[in-house]
Amino acid sequence: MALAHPPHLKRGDPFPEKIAGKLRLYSMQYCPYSMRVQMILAKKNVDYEIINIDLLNKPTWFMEKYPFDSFPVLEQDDILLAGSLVIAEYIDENYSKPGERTIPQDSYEKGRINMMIEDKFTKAISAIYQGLRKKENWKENSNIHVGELENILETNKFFNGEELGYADYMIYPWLSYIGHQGIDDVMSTGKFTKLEQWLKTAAQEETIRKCDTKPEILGKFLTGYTTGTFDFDFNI
Amino acid sequence: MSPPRHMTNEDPFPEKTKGKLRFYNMRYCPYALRARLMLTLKEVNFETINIHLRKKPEWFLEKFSAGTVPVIEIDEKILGESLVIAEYIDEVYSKPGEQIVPKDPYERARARMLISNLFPKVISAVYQRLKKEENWKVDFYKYFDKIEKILAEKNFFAGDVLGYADYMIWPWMRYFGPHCVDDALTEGRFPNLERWLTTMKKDPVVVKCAIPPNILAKFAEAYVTREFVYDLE
Repeated sequence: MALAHPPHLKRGDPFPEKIAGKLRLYSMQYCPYSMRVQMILAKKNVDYEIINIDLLNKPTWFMEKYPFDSFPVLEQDDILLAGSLVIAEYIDENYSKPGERTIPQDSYEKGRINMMIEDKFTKAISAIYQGLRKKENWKENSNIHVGELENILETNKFFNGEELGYADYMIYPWLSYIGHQGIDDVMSTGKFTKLEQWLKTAAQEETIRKCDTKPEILGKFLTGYTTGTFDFDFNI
Repeated sequence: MSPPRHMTNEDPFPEKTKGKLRFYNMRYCPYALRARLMLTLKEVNFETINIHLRKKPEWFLEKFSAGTVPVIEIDEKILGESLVIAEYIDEVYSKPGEQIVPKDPYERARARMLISNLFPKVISAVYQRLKKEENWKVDFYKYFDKIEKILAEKNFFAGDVLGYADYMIWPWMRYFGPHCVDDALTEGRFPNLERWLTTMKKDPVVVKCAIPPNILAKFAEAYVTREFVYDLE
């Protein structure tokens, strides 16, 4: 069952009053960084409200109250956090049942996974955006940096290791773009067989299914990278 | 005694000592200094291999394909990325109760926000000045006004006491002063930052890891000339 998404608030829309004690996520329906957070919130069964923001026409109150360079934003009473990895880690720490942390707890494993996210994932994500925007050399960069992800899967079935876990959630939103909107020929070269298999398996995983966007809807949103016009609410 | 030379592709792989932490460094790299500060703070028994970043040894790239420093290696374990390494060292090598990364989840998240979201912008502004880019003052004042405001409200980026966030930004603040960047903290615009700089310079860990100011300034010339020279000491 997919998440219910309210309309995206834009300039002129009033500030939705906060509810004391309630966790609020300022989000955007197709934002991959927001999806990272939503997956961890779903996995921990956290009760929260979504306030969607039109990122190209933000309400003035949003820019004044939340002057961060990172998105999404989490708020609960006096608690205020911004940035997908910062929030994901906070949720995992605060809302996990004992012994059920999603983020690896062994110091070295955690370091290894975080290193993968900071280095390899960041570069692959950048290459995917270059592909969406048809920047020069995007195919070459995709081959290199998405290729690095294929290399990781040569050793392990999942980015997190033997089983699907934190690292897989943290990269899924961008890898789900492959196959859409002009970066489909990254996959169709047949070079990334492990990634293709991973994508099929990950798309069926319970938490990912809860937060995923239907391919045809995602494809429609991604046309914005080519046309320059994004519609945030056409699915609502 | 001079520090070890920066190893190039012509140098053979220096054999490891089993069980000993090896730190791959570059003497003037600010990211690597983050790791060095943590290793020094925690009194880790480690050895340093300096890497020539323009002539990287193959054996280094085989271990860590990104080819950046810092990297730490303990037997089979290899970690790169300065903040990943800093947190690892704090977790594994701290005496009980002496971790400097905040323990409270919200405090830690706020520290991460500062270090991962705001500090990179501050760092970028410092590089613009080091490279003497034309409009360096725009971003510089924008982001330095923000950190000045933080230091107006508390003694340190970490709070009342010098801590993790302070060490993580120090490597880029070393340049300010008559030895190198003498035109940025001007007109009394950043009195709290100047106070913080004075205190940081006296911190024992900072002192232990200090590069002589004239050497640092000499290295920094490369940001303009693009001719990097590594073995300056």
